[in-house]
Amino acid sequence: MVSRVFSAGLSGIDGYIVTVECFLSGGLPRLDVVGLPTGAVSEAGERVRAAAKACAFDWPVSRLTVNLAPADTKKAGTAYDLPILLSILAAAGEIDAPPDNALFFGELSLTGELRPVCGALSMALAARDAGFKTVFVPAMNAAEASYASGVTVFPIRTLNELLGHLNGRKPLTPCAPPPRPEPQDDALDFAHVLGQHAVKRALEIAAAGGHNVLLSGPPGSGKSMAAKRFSTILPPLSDSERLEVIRVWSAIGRGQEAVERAERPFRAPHHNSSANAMAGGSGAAGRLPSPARSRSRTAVCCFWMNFQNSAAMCSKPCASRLKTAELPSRVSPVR
Amino acid sequence: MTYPARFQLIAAMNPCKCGWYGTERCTCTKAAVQQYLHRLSGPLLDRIDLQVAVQPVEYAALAARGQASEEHSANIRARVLAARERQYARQGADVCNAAIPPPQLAEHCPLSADASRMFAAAFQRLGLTARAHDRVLRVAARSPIWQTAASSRQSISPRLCSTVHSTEPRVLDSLWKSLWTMCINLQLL
Repeated sequence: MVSRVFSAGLSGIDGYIVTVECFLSGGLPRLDVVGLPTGAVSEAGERVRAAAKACAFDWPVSRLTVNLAPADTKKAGTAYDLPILLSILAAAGEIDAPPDNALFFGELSLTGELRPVCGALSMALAARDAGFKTVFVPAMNAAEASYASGVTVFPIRTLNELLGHLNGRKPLTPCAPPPRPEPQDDALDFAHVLGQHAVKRALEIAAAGGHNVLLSGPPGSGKSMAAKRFSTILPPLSDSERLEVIRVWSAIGRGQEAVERAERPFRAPHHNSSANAMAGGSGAAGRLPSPARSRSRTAVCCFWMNFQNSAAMCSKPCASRLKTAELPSRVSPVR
Repeated sequence: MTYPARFQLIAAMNPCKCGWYGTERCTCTKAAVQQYLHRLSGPLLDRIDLQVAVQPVEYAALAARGQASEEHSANIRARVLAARERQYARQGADVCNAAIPPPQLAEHCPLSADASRMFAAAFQRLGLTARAHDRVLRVAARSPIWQTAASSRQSISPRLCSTVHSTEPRVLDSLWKSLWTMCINLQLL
């Protein structure tokens, strides 16, 4: 018997649909996960088995094959724990097959509780675009995922809570997107910068028009002081910019933080940062540059002190990075 | 794989290695200043719209701490927000001045006859590139803050172009200063 559960994966900051299939057959009891699982995905079996037992399900005594389709893209992360467990339980007849218009993802603890995953918002958006009606996400990811309008997001805390909802015994309430937080009073203020009216004026023009600025002057003249206060005069993020910022933060597992902050991201990279470091790592060892560091780069204001000494910005190839969002990649994508 | 990477850059630097170029304190040789400035590539500088020569703070300003009222961020922010509103109304949702597409530049950034003459002179004198030309227009775009839309006088930006790569070893900031002063004197900002 083959069961099928829909889930989603993350490629960069874009989500894509993953179909989790489980096949039970005779033979020695074992669990094989296929579909190019990397580290954490191939360990999912151990978590899933413990979670099933903790929730009082019988673990099928048969050979289990779990396939993550598309099977030719590498899968990373722990988001497949929940769909793998659901597909195994459904294949074994322990639960009814989950609905086809619902999408599941989440990391399982050994006790059957759901833990947050990276990229919940992107995955929820992918689900909406693929025509799914509902998305079940770990409760800790519900706030960010709920920004995907057009799809119903259910927060789940434990496996039992999810199963209670699916069989209709204890329906859950969907999560609504939280309101935009109020900007907090900043400790930084332009009033602290004495004189320097030309600089302030230039920064005001830049804030209004979105222009890049280079301040050149002797040490101690207040360049850094003024630049650090630049974020206090920037307009708030527009809705689409905010969605993008949350997606990037969500992809590195800090979605909740992004939901709670009102202000525009501001980054001051170290002047010795290399171009690779700015792009989010070299992409060595089969990994793509992570958006971890490049999160600084979307819809943000970026302050670069000691500009001239920066290795990253001196050569022409780097200058072209200023205009394009494309990152060169020679490795196969990890999704 | 594509990551979103739209950012606004605020960069700071010293005019030379010792930092005091232009004053008697500077101990750098001309060649050392040139070498230092050469560390910023031309293509990079060409993408920076506003290049400001920062002056040391006057003693009077420091002595007046607590007495003179410097403007608070909230006030500046209110003006910025109003400017953004006007930009969006004029150019479309979420299109700020820096993002005006080239085909619409003529429509959104018209120059008066005076401004046009001055711009032509500046273009020649500073050796502006085509990209710099467009960027100047974007900064100047009806100068959202100090100029009412109705005013006939259009502004020229303080985008001051680097001379690092020019044949004549001029200095960055003397030229910056002159153009900046020119803009202020002409009340074009």
